[in-house]
Amino acid sequence: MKRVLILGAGAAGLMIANRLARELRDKISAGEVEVALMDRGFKHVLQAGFTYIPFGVFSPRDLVRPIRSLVNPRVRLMLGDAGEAEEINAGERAVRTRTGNVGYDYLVVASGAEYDYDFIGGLRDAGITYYSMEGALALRDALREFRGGTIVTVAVEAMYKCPGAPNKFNLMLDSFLRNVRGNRSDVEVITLWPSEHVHAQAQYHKAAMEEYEARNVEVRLNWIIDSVDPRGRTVKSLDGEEVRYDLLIYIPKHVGSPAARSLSKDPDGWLNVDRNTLNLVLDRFKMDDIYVAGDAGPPWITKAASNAHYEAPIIVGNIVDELGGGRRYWGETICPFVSDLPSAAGHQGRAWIPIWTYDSPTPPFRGTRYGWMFNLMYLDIYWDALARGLV
Amino acid sequence: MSKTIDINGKKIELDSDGYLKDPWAWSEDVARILGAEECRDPETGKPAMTEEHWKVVKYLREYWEKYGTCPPIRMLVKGTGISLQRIYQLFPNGPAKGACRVAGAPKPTGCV
Repeated sequence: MKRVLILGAGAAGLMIANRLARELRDKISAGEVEVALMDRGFKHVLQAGFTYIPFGVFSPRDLVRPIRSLVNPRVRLMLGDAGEAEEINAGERAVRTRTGNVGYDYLVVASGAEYDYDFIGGLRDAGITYYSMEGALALRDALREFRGGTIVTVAVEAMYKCPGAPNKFNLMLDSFLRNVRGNRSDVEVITLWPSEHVHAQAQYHKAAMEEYEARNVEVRLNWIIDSVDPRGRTVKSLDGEEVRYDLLIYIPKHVGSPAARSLSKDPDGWLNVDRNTLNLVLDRFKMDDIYVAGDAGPPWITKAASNAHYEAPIIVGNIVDELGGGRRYWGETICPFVSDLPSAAGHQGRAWIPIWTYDSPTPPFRGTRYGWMFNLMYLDIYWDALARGLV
Repeated sequence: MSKTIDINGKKIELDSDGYLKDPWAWSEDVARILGAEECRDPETGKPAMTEEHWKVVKYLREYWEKYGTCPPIRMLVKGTGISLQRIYQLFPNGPAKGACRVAGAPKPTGCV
């Protein structure tokens, strides 16, 4: 019997496991193939919703469901300690977990990204991040209590999940203070970016920068955080520039999972892949029996569930064909843009859904009412169709 | 539209944005040709490829060959000891679009 082992029941792992279970159902019934899915937890979290939590658009119950409820019953589930992958041994074709070794014939590493909260000493205590459920909830409370002063938002490094999220967050923050709380005039908003743009897609950058300028959000580019002083309430850049804050909101440094780090030579633990087949590449050598999906992949593939959605059929097709190269990933990416929240005062929500590929950049856009409506519908589409691998 | 550069009679293909189509076709001769477009003397603003330029390019190249990706800017600044401001003076198109292109990395495709 051949075993396809998938590490991680995030968006990538779920979609791939469910698609494989459908496409291989005859072989699974005949006992020729097993599709196994591992996760160290029991719950699946729709992380793309974190950005909305501080503003009360979504609550935790909108974003969390039991993994078991989302997985095709033909998939063998290994959850909890039995699903906590600690090391991948590519030579032996085995994954070591907390409870023992699990062999594989094909491995899909979909173990996501984790946070190195201590990369900048003191940042964890000085600031709040909306890149986790706990952080997003803490920020919701902090924003409710915030009376006025300077809010500073900063990304530790230009490598984070959902590259649109910080822009959506900043604009929703302005919209929240202006139209929901009505205290925008008491607040200065400064956003510090570790790169030369707020988004690498030129039109996304342009659309966001126009909104920042119109709303008096101060943007500093090429601002790389070096340290934080919680007593003086300042952050300092590599160039020695200090910025004072009353509320500090940050995106932590991202790194690969322990299992991915055991295989990767990259200092941050990302796994390099063939850009079209998504096979793991180690030392220029393409591993035909290992695929990498979702956030565990290389820095040059966007870390977002939308990418995983487009990667899933490629990996599944290749595994099903056992050819290792039949289908191609073209870099399809969806990265929602949100500029306005609806408010009791009659403001309309505005958003857009930019789509692009490796070779075809997204055309010019701005937020629209219909984009906002689609953005809200996305929650149902995700739970009922995307996470189940139906589309 | 793609173009080619000529190294001792050998043609090397670039993509429409001037990045190497095959990053493994890189050599120091390739870097000199791409560097003529990207590298500037910080004092005069004229095209020039100095030791500082090579320090940045070689750091990026070694990192790319080892890991298949360009390093975080923080690592580039700390690894070379050259400030980000200075890197922009040396490569006016910046570390990603300027220096990484000279180092033979493919066109950046991420969206951060």
